[in-house]
Amino acid sequence: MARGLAIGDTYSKVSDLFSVYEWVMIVVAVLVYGAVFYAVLRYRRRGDEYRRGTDKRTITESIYALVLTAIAITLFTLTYRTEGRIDPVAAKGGVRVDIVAFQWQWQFGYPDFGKTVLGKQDQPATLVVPVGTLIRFDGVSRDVIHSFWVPAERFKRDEFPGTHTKFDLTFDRVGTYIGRCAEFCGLHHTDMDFFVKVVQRTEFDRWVKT
Amino acid sequence: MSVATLPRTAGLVGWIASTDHKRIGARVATYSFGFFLVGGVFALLMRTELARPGLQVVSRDTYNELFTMHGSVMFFLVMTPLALALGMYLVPLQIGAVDIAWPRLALVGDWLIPSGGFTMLMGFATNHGAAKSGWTAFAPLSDITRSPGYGQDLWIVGAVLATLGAYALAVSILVTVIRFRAPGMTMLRLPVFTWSMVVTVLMVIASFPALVIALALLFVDRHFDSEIFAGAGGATVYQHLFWFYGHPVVYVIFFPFVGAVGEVVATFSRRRFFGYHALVLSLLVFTALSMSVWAHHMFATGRVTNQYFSLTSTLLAVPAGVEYFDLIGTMIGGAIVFSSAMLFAIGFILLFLIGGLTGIIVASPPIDYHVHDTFFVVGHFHYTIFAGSLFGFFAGVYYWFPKATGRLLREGLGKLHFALYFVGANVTFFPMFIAGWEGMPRRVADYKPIHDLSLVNLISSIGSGVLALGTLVFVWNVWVSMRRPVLAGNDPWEGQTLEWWTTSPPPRHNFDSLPPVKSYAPLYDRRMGET
Amino acid sequence: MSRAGVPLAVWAAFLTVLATVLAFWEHDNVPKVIFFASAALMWVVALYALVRGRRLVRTRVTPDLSYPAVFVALAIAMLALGALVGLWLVLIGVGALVIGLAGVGRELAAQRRAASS
Repeated sequence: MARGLAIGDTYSKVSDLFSVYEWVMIVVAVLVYGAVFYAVLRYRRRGDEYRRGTDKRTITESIYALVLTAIAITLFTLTYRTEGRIDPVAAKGGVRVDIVAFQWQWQFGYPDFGKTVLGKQDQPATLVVPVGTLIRFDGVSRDVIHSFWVPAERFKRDEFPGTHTKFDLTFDRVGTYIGRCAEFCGLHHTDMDFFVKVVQRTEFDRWVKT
Repeated sequence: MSVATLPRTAGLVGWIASTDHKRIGARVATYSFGFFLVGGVFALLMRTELARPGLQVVSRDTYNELFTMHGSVMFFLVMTPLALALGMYLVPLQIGAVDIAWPRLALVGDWLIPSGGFTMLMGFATNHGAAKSGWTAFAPLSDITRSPGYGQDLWIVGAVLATLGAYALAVSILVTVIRFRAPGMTMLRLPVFTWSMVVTVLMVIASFPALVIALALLFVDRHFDSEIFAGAGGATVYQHLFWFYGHPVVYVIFFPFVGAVGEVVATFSRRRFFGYHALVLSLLVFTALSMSVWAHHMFATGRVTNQYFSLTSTLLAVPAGVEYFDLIGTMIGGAIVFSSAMLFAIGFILLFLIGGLTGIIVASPPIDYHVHDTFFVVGHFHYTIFAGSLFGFFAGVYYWFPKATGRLLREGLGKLHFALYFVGANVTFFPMFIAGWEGMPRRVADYKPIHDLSLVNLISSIGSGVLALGTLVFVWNVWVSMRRPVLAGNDPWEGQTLEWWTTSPPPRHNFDSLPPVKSYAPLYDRRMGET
Repeated sequence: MSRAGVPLAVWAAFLTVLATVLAFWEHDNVPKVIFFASAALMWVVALYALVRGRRLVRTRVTPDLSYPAVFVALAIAMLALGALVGLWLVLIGVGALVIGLAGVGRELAAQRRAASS
């Protein structure tokens, strides 16, 4: 089962963004931990003394707050741009897939080809998609809120009852990947796995006609 | 003899109906700790189940009840009441008041909380079992068709009662600060802890009604054929109402404890708190911002404007960073004493940081699309609530227990408690980041061996055992310290704020006299000869 | 006039600003209504603080025990449970609430008498 491999477009965008966050967090943690260890080692009590040091450093603290704000705005800007490339949906092109989530499995439909895949408790649904192609998803639930999550693609979207949600994904690497339901939906939420099988276009064309 | 001059009564009768804010605070803290042990047992059962793939200990149904009631107990019956109990006990003392304002309102609140607790836990005794739709009880999962049975209804009634109780305590604390401050105690001389309580109760007053409204409407939907939360639109309305409460509440259960950490750090660095004015401003900004971030819990729905909530959520780093600057700034240039209280305070600073930084990570919708509703988030909020708030709570306990009881807690046992908690918290909660990132959703009773999650879950479960041990050490410490007391005296720590001026425990009227108040550290000023 | 009202008003102002920004950025009305309602409530609280003065209290007049208050709490619990269990419990709760509030009223009256004597 492929895990942690770049299987798609969204995976790359999220990974790139996450690396920035990761580095910022590590640097911040090192600085804070360093300051705490410095304080703890250098400023332990030695006698019966009290400290009468300065109780504030307004200029330093103001500059520090401005630096933090700049970092926050930068992270937000990177996030905003990345989201701007993940959220939009194309009007046409690629392959359409309809997702119907229900307690407690999945149904995947291919309206362009008239094919449906229905999952069952003992036989989870497999979503077959062609590699390197835009897949235009349209998701809805038949009952409670579920969530379509493909960990290897680093993406999930909730499925609501009644109203459809649209999102686009591309899968760039052939293989079979696990899918999970990621919104608690009752007794068998644990068992609502599905599979995403990414295949060559020719194999997909053959399969979808069966 | 008029009612107003009834003598003070000891014993059980006095404990039930006492209007003394110190008894109310102590009582709320005591039963909340009892609920903590109950919620902790639920957690241990869950971790035992998740230690290995396959269902060994409980059924799916029971597991769903366990995580629902664990979260519900911890939010409604433990952390929120503990946060308010600290304030109920300490705020009048810190501001030099003789009593809390509207003590009967506080007493009503004090009894509403366990009434609610008892009610929601009664769900376990019903046919369908306790509530099992998550502590968040999202519609439509929580409607009458999908969650039949009294357990869900008892949960709704219990949660409403507990929330009303918290509201009553909060109002009483706020009015006390507005009206009963001692002469010289201006708002900008309030101690750090009292300021943290002020912003806490503001959030309670502003956000808790949203939950009561959401749950009342949910109850109506369940029993009166209405369709308030039907369809995607209705389900979204429910989430907006719930999270408008559900985000501020996590700050309600944070700020009193960071305030406690502030007091402990100042006292055990033997200097005044650094950056007081910056801290007050950052408390106001932090809590106001926290009212505006709630839909970051809804990023994966595609039904809110993610960008606004992502911006406000990311900006939280600024006031949080200022508070860290002030806490560490107090330690630097101080003369640090490593008491149990100070160890928990330092532990808070180090470990809450991990929770806070992972919070900034999930504030980014593209990243959240991956980790939302996974164990990554479970790890994030347990670092903030357990390794953060609860560590801050214990810092406060080791610090203020002598004031409330007149007895010191044993330092050796306190340090053992800290060590077990520090190790246990990291071993339990850090692996959750890995589990979530690698594909483990939350609220699952089981995982398959093919998911490569067995090792991290096993490690996490071992950690939970260490935490259980640490909790037992604390309970033992309290027992031993009460049975074979070591007397504390008025001011065992050379404290800086007014509660240390009076006896331990304080008399009914709190103070026989008051020193002059010229700053936020009146006893420190006096000790330094400045007053 | 209590200066405690100032930080409370500042806080209500912060909420109002944040809600206004949301109003421009979000198209759904529900979150905007909730946020503005909350901000409005906090202005009321700030107003209360600004208007009510500080009160120097040297001695307590509240009685040490208040059974009516405990009774009120139990009454509210009965009212809430009654919504689930049946009208009979709601009615008992109403009755208990009336008795409890009357008791609190008597206590407050006694306090006022003791304070003015």
